[in-house]
Parts: sequence; C-alpha cells; structure tokens
Amino acid sequence: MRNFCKKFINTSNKSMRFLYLLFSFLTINVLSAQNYYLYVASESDDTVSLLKFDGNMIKEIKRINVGFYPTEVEGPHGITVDPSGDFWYVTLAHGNPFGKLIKYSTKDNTVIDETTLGLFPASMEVSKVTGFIYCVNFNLHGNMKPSSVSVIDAETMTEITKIKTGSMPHGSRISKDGLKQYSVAMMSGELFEIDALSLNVSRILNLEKNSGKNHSKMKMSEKQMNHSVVKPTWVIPHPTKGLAYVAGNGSNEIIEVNLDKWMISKRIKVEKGPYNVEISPNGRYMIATLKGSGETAI
Amino acid sequence: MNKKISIFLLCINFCFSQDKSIISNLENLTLNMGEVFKPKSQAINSDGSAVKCVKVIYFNKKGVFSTAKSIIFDREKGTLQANDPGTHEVVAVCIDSNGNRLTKTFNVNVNYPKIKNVKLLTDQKSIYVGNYVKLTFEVTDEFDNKRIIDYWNYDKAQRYFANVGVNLTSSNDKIRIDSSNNILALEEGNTSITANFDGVTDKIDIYIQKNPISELNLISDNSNVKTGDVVKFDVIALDKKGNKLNDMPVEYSFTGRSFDKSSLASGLILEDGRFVGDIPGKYVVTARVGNITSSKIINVFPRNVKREVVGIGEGLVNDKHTSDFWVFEGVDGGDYAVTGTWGADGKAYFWDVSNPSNLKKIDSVQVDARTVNDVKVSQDGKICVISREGASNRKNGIILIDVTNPGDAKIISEYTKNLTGGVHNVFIDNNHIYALSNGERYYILNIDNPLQPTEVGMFEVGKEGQAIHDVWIENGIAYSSNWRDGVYLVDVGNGIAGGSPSNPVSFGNYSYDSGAHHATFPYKSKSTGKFYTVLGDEIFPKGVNPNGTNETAGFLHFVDFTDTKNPKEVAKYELPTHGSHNFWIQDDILYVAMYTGGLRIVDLSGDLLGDLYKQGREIGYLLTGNPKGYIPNDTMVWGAQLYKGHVFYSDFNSGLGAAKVLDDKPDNSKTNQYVE
Repeated sequence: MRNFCKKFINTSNKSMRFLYLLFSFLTINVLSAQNYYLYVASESDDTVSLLKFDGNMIKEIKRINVGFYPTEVEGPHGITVDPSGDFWYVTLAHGNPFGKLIKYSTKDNTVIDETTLGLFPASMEVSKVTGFIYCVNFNLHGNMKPSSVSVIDAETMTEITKIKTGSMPHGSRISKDGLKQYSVAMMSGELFEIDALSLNVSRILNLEKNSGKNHSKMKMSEKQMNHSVVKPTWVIPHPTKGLAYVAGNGSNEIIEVNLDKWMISKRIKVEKGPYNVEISPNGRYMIATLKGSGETAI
Repeated sequence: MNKKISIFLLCINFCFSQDKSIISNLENLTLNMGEVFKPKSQAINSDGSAVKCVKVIYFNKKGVFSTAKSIIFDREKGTLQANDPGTHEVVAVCIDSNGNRLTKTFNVNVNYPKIKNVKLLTDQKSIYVGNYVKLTFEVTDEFDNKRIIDYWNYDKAQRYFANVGVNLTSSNDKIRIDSSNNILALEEGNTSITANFDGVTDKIDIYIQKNPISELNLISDNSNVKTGDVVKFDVIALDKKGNKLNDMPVEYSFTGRSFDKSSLASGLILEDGRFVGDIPGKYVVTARVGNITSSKIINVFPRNVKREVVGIGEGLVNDKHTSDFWVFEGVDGGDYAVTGTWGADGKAYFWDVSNPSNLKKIDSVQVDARTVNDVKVSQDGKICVISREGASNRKNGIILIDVTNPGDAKIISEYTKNLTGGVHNVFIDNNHIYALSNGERYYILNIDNPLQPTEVGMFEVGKEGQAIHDVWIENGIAYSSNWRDGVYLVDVGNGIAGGSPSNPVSFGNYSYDSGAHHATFPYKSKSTGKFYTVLGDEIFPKGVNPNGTNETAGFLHFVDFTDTKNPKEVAKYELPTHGSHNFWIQDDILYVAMYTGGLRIVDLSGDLLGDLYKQGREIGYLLTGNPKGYIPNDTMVWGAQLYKGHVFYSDFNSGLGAAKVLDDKPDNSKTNQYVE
C-alpha cells in the first residue's frame, strides 16, 4: 500500500476532481481486469518467466535471466511479489557458498538491489506490516544441523538478522495480519512461528507422531537432530481462521494445526508426497502439490 | 464507492506520514568499544506531537553477514553492542498501528579503543646517514588486541592514524620526520624517536652511523636482456681501506626511457635487487647506501616471442553452450575428446580428434542434468567421468562412462551419495575420483569397481562459509581452489604429509584479497626449477548477459610455492578488460582461456616477476567467436589443453576447437601503415 499511495503523491497538487476520476478509473479497471500476471522461477535454467493469464489462456510474455555467473547454475528458488506490486524478489540458492536475494522492478524487470543471505535461501514472503522479507535458508545439501530464517529490510535490502530455526527450513509464509511468520524444518520435523516484530522464535511445534517432547521449552543445542518421518515441506496459515496447514511430505498427510492451542488438530491422509500447500483467499479451498504421485489435489 | 473512499483516505494517511520523523537517542551517539546501549526512539509529527510506534526495530545497515559484526543487536533485551571502531549506520524502523513504516538512519560513532601500550620496532641492524629508518608500530589496545603497523603497509597506517592522535618526535636534529612519518637519518650520532599515540608513548634509541662505505659497486650478470627477464643485482661495498662490508642496507631504484618514443619505460625492482623491465628501453639501476650510490645501465630489448596462432579445426556445437573438455589417447591409440554442455539437455559429446583439422563428433550420452560442467578421462583412456548439475530429481552426482570405444560410449554407473547439491568439477586420478559437492567440499571415491564407486575420503577447509570451485590432482597432491580461502595443497598419496585418498592431509595454503580464486594449475618451471601454483580468478563484474558479450575480469596469480611453508606471490598475467578462466601449462608455456579475450599463449620461460602481459611475453592469441555460434561471433573461451602439439580449446558458444602455434612470426606489415 505504501508504494500504491506513493503513485498518488505526484497527483496530490491536482484537483480533487481529478483524483476522484483517477480513483474511479482504477477501480473500474480492477473490477473489469481479466489479466493476471505470474512470475515463475526455473531452478535449473537460471531464468524467471513472466506469465500472463487472461482467464482462458496462459502464456509466457517475458523470460528474465537471473544470476551473476553466466557459466554457473545459481538456482533461482523462492520468488515473491511485494504487496504493493511494485517489486518482485527471487532467491538464488547457490553462491560461493552463500545464496542471494535479488530485488527487481515489476515495471521493467530490471535489478534494483541485492543482498547475500545464508546457505540455499529458498521460500520467502513479505510482511505487509513490517515490510520485511522473511526467507528460509534451506541448506538443502548441507549437514543436518539447525539453519535459519533471514529477515531482510526490503527497502535497503539489508539482512537484518538470522533467526535460528530447525534443520532444512522451508515454506516461509506470513499470517494474514502480517505479524507471524511460519516455516517448517524438513529434517527435524518442526513447525516454527516467528514473531514478525520482535524477530524471535515465539513457538515451536513437534510435528512427529507419538512425540512427547515439548520442543518449545528446549534449547536448540539440547535437541537431538533426528530425521523426521513427517518431513514437513510447507506450511500455510489459514487466511480467516486460527489454523495452519502443513504438508507432511514423508508421512503423506496434510497436518492441520490449531494456532490458538498450538497443537495438531487433524491429520489428513493424502496421496504420496505432498509438497506445497496454498489456501484460496476466501479460505474455502486448499490446493496441494503431490510430488510423489505427480498430481495436484484441491 | 466505499472502496474509492478508503483508497482516498489511505492516500491522505500516507501524505501526512511524509511529515513525520523519528527522534532517537541514537542521534550523535558515540560509544566505546564493547559498550552496550539501549536505543530509544519516538516518531513525531511535524508539530511535535507523538506518533505511536507499535514497535521500533533497529538494524545495522551493513547487515549480519559474517564480515559485518560492527554493531550487533540483542533483540530480546532490546540493546545494541559496539564491536568495531569507526562510524556505523544504524537504521530505526517505526511501525505504527496502521502498519505504516517510518525509517531513519543514524550515524553511530564508535571510538577507537584506548591504547594500552605502544612498541616501536625496527629490524635494521645498522642505520647510516642518508638512509630511511624503517619503523614498525606495535599497538596494543585496552582489549589486548594487537595491531601491527608495518613500514610497507602505509595504507593501513594512514587509516589508523586518521583516527588516533599520532605524533612522532626526535630528541635532536639528527633525523628528519616528514608529514607522512617517514624518518630520514641526517647526522651521525645518537638520537631517540618518541611516538605518542593518544598520550601513550614509547621511545626507541637509534644510533646513526657514519656511512663506512667509500666505494659501492653495483653488479649484475647481464647488461643486455629482454623484457620480462629478471636481472639480479648485488652490491660490493668497500670501506676506505678496501675491505669488503657485508649486510649493508641497500636501497634500489631505477629510471629509464623506452626505445620507442611513443611508449613509456616501465619495470619493477625489489628490495632484494631483482629487476625486470617491462618495456624495451634503456634503464639506469641505482643502489644507494646513504649518500654513496652506484649505478648500472641495462638495455632491455624486445622479447620477440610473437608467433602465428592459427585455428586448425572446429567441432561446432551451436544449439547449446559448451562447458569443459578433455582430450585423451584412447585404448586403440587414437586421439579423442569429450565435451560437456551447459544449461541445456544434459549431453556430453565424444569426438575423434586424431585429425585436428577434422574434428568429428562420434557419439554422445545424455543424462538427467541441465549442465554437464566438467568432464575428465582416466589416464588409461578407459573411464570418463562427467558431473551433473540441475538434475530433475535433484540428485545430481556423477556419471561414469566406459570410453574404451569412444564411438560407442556406455554409461557404467551413477553415483549421487553426498553429491546431491550438484557437482561442478571433478578430477580422476589413479582409480580415484575427486568430486566437488555443493560447492563446499570434495569427496574422494575409489573406482576399482566402476560399477560401484565407494567413498573413501573427504576434504573441506572447515571454515564458516567455506566454498570450493575446482580440484586438480598431480603427483599425489590435490590442489583445491577455494574462492576467498585460496588454494589448499592436500596430500592424497604423494607422501609429503603422510596423506592418502582415504586420509587427505592439508599441508599448504595461499589466499589473496580479491577472493575470486577459481582454478589452480601446479607448475614446475623447466628453466628455473621453481615450483609455482598458478591461481586463476573468475569474475563477472556485471553479471549475466545471455544474449551478448559478457564482461569478464580477473587474472592469473603466480605464487612461488617452492617453499611450501612460505609461498610468495611474484607475478601476474592480466589481460586488460578480459578475465581468466581455465588454463594449462607445459614446457614453460601457458595456454589460457581468457573468456572474451580468446585463447592466449604466453611465454613463461625464466624467472617470473611482475606483470607478464606488460612484459611482452604473450606469444599469440586466437579469437574463437564463430559466425554460426550459439551467440554468433562471440568469443568466450572456456578452457585450453595442449595435446600432441596442438592447442585444443572449448568455447562457450561454439564448441570444441583446435589451434596450432606456428614457428612463423606474425605478419606485422600492416601495423605501421605509414612507415616505408
């Protein structure tokens, strides 16, 4: 919204009538718009495609080469668009050795700025409250040890802090109110909640079945890094309810977590290998990719 | 209609927010090292009324990367701590109840730590009238951190002296101290120098001797040399009675004029008296001890090593990029090559190169990868190993291929354990494969049974942020190229450090400031017997340009590793505006892929010192851009290999090529068009 309003700054000296007409035009345009734009990262090709969907057809309208080494695969992995729609961000997983976060303009898809993050930076999202980007350092090919969530100030592209979480964190998603960030640790089988304002881990939930451990009261160093059976790969908070859904890639289930009680409220059996989970903005539908069976479930 | 109103109100809100600002106790803040401070900030409107911040978040504008710990934050306690002296930017972000952000950057000054102790040192045994006194400052601060300000590293001294009150004085007029704190001995006798660092002092007593030399003779083994030849100068110093004086503090310098009036004389002379001329001309080399000098004239003639380099054959690959290659003798005695492909369909091509003017593609394999970055073949010509990156199942790893009949290459096995992060480079040596893993370390695999490679060892630098780009094996020593950590020499069977493939033992390391160390070639000079590791950079200063010429930078660093415990960087090969990639050295000749600068061939004979390119050591070059290339006419040479008298190369845009260095000198008849 910040940048949306910014566009109107230039018109602030014009007459109120002009503003009204402009707002009207924009609103009508929004309501009648049939075009949707998507950015898609191609991990092994070091490219990002801009797709246009008009309600019937989807087509690639631009392909953007990303990265810094023409002769090395840098692996664009996570991609997100700023709530204002003015910028998009992509993580490059492979650096030497740390990966990068690159900021682009949606206007002309040119690079604006960059910063270095941790090992294999992956999924991320921007909080509408703080304006910060919360990005997991997946460390996909590293040793089984706790990794982190990087918090980046999108305005200055500064990595503000690294918050220690679990082993192979993935699926960074922000609550609707912008105040909580959720990620799962794939190899330690945990759900992490980070307070978007205090920049600390506020709660940890063990997602394994038959686990009696209360991880939230344990220090990270005290925990044994056992290989998770659930292998959670993604988490999405519900847009209207106090629930979050976790893809249990190893246990072939979608796990419903009651965020108020901070406990697992349901385990939904699905086909093999759920990986990504998203929920429609109205909260009515969940879509999950089933990597093992090569299907998409709704 | 409601929507329109709300957008309008939001705009009003934003417009107002432009008049808000942050006031903070960070303003004009000065801290001492180690001091912990609790910042307090408040957003206010232009009329001074308070704006409620739900939260104020602070951060160091340098970020949290390992090199930026100057100001760190304890977010639970809400404090910051000063760790490095200097001025640092701290950003305060106020987030109000509507989710609007307001930011302000504050300069926080951190005082240099108080100095506890200063020590003045010199290693000069004798100081004579007319010589400079070479002082070293050893400064210990209140945290017991020691800072050595060496005589030669004045860049560091200047930065430090600008922040600390430094004053040098002498007890009498026997020395003169200039504005840069250089100390010149003027008169015989005792004097003392006192250094005052913010009130902490130390004194050093110096005896300036009368110069005992009455005659100084500068000698060298040669007066007529070629550009790039290293001339070692020595002096014979005699006293009044004609007695020889040893260990005199000699200072060397030179002047010169180039033979070509359109050029400028240039060269280098070291403290130990080694001189090299870059440009043909007459040079006057001078040795000085105090006010006694001796000079000698050196004529430096053109090196005259230029030769014609011609393209012999091309194996065009223009539907995809080509990566690395390897030329080898097959079990049938024929000559073959394998090339990788980049960002494509996982293919590796096999070539018959027995006739370099007719490079024939004879087979290919396709594996699950986007990039087959590296390819190598065993010494016996039987097994080829190729690396995988971008595999669809993310398992990557390596593929072993039976190349006993290169025209019918057969995949033997796939190996992915610990290599899922992608293998960028590989090497094969004595039935062992050295495979990079995720750009962090390399694993050593035994392939006695190529159907089932077995992991026997692993080497990693063991530092935070360790990274590796390449590994090369020669004589049982693995040379890994580790970006900012430089080259590591690891015994994997040589015996120098008791290592083996299952017990790799590191015994040597050299790194340099740019941190761009990408490839290593070990090289023992045939002409001098010196042992070098040649360390290549890889730099793309402007990132990726997939449709045109990429800008490249970086050069080759020549490090004299004859004494493995005391490596010294002595020379460089830098081609202006073009960066280095892979290279090969044989019989004192360098064959280097300079990416956009083409294939370059450089004379490395004799001792190596200084700027090899400037010295006219380049024998010749070949630009490999092809009108039918993946990017037409775009030269982007990846690697070079001398094989049976031909220089083979791979080009990112055009595939495999073969060149020949002829005995003929290049035709320069059109160079000076107006000279009859």
